[in-house]
Amino acid sequence: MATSTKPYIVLIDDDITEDQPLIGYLHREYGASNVFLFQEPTEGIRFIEANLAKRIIVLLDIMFGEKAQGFDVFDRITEKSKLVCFIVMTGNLEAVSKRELQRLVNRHAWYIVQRDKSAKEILALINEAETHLMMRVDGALEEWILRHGPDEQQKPFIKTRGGESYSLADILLSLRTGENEAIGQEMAADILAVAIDLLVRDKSRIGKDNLAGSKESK
Amino acid sequence: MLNIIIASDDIDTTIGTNCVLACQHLHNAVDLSIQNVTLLNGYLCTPVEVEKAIVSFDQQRFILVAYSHGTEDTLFSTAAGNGYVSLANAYQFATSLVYTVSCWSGVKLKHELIKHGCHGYVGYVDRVKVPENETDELLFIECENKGLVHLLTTGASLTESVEEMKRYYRKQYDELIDQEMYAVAGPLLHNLGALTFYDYEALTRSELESH
Repeated sequence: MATSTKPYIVLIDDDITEDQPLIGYLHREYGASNVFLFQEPTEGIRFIEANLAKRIIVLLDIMFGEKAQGFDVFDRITEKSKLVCFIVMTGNLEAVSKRELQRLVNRHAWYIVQRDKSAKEILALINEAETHLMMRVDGALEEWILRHGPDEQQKPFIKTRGGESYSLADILLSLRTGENEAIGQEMAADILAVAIDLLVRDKSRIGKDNLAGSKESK
Repeated sequence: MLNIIIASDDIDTTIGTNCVLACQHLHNAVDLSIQNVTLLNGYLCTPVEVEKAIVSFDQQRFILVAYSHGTEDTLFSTAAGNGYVSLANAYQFATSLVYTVSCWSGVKLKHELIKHGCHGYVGYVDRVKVPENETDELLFIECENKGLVHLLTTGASLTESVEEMKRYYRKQYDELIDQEMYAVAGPLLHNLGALTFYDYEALTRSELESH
């Protein structure tokens, strides 16, 4: 279930410009066509909402001028999708109120970082976020669904004897928003159960030789 | 002779075809031609028709096989939205084996049936998922019918039949894993985990026939 495509890296920050080293690093690592910079929060929101079908890592500044508009971006997107990975930057971590911090944590901001980090440090964080996205079962399921064409996604995929029928698109929506009786989360849990079952019951499927090798090396 | 009611909501828009396939599978797997079978499908799948069939069995033991939707306290159909089996008529199943593939009925209805003297129950305590792809759908149906088929074609008890059913689920699951069909294997494993049963005292086919 390894991912096959690079995620979109979306930067929403009025202090970052195209000529800064971070943008150059990101272009090299993720490809220029996968990196998007928005200095206006509303434009960033619009772009993310239009691209929820992609895996997205957002590098989000909290302060825009004197206003903490970053929270609005965070709230607006996390209401629609829980699969967008946020790295939240703030000029002064101590200045983030308890309530705001609670909001970020409760809605699963992946990382909250002081904005004076170097471009390389930020890049390393984005790399970690990418790994985090790849390791998530719901993310893997999302990507598996997205490998199907749009027509295929609309076809009924699974039904229940409780009266529901779901297409892959329904499951995708559910993964992101919890809608559709949480079938997306349920499917992700089913797949996780398979992985656990394989690990517990049949170790050879995860590489008996490798396990033996690692034992010898100790 | 066995007294059997097969309730099949074959006009349901979501699972109607699945009910037909499940019914067909049962008929192919077990020779029911000389048994006393009452098929309650379509608009006949109501509590009134269920009661008529039970009365016709004249207090002899019987099997209710239910291919339909379910909730925690009902087995319901297009014709009977409030349930053709529910907490309200659970007392009518005192001499029966209830074998259902419906969602959720293992949560409450099972216990109500047992309270009223039901001899055996097989069902599920969660959503029962079924793939829309027909090949996979048939595989799921084979698993779901396995316990009943085993009970009716061998001398095994209900408990032994359900154990065989669980083994069969596992076997099919392993084959899906071998084919790397994890998105189908997951729901099958989920269904197996939701399976629940009750066997009053090692109910067998002959006991269902002889009373």
